[in-house]
Amino acid sequence: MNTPANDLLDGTQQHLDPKIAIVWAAGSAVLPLFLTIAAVVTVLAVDAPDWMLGVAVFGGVALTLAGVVWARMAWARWRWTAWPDAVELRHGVLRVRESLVPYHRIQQIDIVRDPLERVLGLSSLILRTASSTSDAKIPGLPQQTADGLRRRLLALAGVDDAV
Amino acid sequence: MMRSELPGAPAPGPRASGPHRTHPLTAVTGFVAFGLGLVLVATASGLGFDLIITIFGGLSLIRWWFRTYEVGPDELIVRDGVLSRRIQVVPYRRVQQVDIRRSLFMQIFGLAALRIETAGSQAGTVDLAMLSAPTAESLRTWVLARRAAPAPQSEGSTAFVPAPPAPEEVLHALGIGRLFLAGVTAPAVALSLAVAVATVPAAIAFAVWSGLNALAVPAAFMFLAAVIAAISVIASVLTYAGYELSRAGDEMRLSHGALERRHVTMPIARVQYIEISDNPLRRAFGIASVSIRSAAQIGAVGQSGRVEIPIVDRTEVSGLLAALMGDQSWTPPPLHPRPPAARRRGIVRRTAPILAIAAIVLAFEPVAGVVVAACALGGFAWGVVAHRRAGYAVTPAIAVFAAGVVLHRLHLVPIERIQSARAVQSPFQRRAGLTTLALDIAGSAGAPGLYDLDVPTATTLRRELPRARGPERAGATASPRSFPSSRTPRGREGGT
Repeated sequence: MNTPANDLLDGTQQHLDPKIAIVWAAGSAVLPLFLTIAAVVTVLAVDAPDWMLGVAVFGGVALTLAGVVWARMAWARWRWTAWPDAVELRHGVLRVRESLVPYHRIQQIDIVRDPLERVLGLSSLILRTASSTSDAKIPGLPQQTADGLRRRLLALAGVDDAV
Repeated sequence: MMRSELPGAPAPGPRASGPHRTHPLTAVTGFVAFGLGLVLVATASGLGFDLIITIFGGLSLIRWWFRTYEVGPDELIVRDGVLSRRIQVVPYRRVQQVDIRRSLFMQIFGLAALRIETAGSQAGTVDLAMLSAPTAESLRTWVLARRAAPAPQSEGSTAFVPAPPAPEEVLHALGIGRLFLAGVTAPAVALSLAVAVATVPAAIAFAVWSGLNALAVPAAFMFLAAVIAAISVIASVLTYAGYELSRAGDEMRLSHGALERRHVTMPIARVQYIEISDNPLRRAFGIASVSIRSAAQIGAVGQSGRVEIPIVDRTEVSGLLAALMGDQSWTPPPLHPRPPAARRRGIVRRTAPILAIAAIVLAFEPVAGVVVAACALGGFAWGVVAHRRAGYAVTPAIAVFAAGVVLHRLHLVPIERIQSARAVQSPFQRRAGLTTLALDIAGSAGAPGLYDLDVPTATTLRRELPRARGPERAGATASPRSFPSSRTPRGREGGT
């Protein structure tokens, strides 16, 4: 991804980096994993019949798989477009969310990377306006794209942030 | 009324003045607030009252001593805290609203609490309680005058000539009769009476079952409801007694309250949106209430961040808004209905859950099932009315959304204040080709919008409204963006 940042604002529809699905799937697998371990330990501790062990493990695997499928679907439905004057997002599996944030309203731009994202080389770009309800977080951007986009947008940001 | 000097302190002149402290009585009230705690501590610890009072009185005094404010040419600086110090800097150009509050206690002692609010969070709110009343008045005058003052060009040119006070024009005043009507038709009163009336059969049944007098229980219910209603009416009349809404230059000013007097000043350019609401009772009387919201909202206590008009004739709303905002474009335009699919969706949304429950009940109790199913008729009617009362309109200056059956709300959003826009579509809405539109405005005052709009309309509005910058209005010239250019590293002012 060595595209110059300028070309990002040409209004072409973009997808997230597919690796973001790994981050999401890992996030949704934490709870099932924890529950499965707790269930297995309980089953072993109280000398319950073996089939219960099978149920616990099967349940954990099924939940984790569901999380993986969901993460994959969430990635497949994520779109973002940087127009010359505004960024447009479209995401959501069941409830589809679309939002438009004009650059002249941007007050602040954050880049956030959690540990797993750092390992995978991903960044989340968060555009903040004066409103607490604006929806403008683009997750799963390659680091270079996020940094370039941030630099580019900062130059356009807040020219009319009148509150 | 307006004094340009702070008594006992240098006037907030062109140069920074201060640091000042709040009124010494603040330390005393802070100490008295501990009162009950003191008694408890003294009783529990066995220490003498005099020692406890000395310790807490001293602490209260130290806290008061360490809270100072400095009146600068462009910003107010408040320093606070004994061990961990906090410095709050509030640029006047960012001010959303200035309030003066005077409780009965403060009125007796000639004090006032001043609150200066900027957009967003509590961190941007300065509460100077308590000041002497003249100090509070002159500080408010200063802050509001400096708000619109041009940015300082250099250190040398800070000379500030206060503009002559703009003539104040009273636009809306309310007498006791109107306030009483507002209180009686308030949703809380109507609701408590409605609940009392609705529970009369149940109360009679309970009385018969328990062997009590068949009239005593419902009578007690009605009495209780009447007391609640009376208290809420009296509270509303006292809150808004002496209501006066006026306009002076590019500010709106509001004073009201009998026991606690409030003076709110909101710059007109800071209005984020306006809500006109009514309920069946108010519609019957041809009246409505209006709430004008600024971006000062989060964490603020009470009715902060808004100017309320508790009662106004429906026929006068347009005229009042036009006069208040100084702009004819605030007249609510005729509304477009939503598409027919929204009507179907509105009916299904209100009947399907009832019918589902009815089906389950029907399996066990046929009679009850039929009764529940009959309730779906009510849901049907509700859906039809909800559709009829909802609508939207967009003019070059404002976006308008209306919705609500019992409590009907009309939201007027100035297009130049829209920060961003969202549309959320549930799977059911997707099948019907509908979506819910929400416009994000500054602060956390909510996101006005409308549900079940057709997708093409919602998409156009979502894409176009936040992009439009709107015509620069006369009142909007003091845009808060213009920091002194020395502070903008990229030199936005220069157009780079």
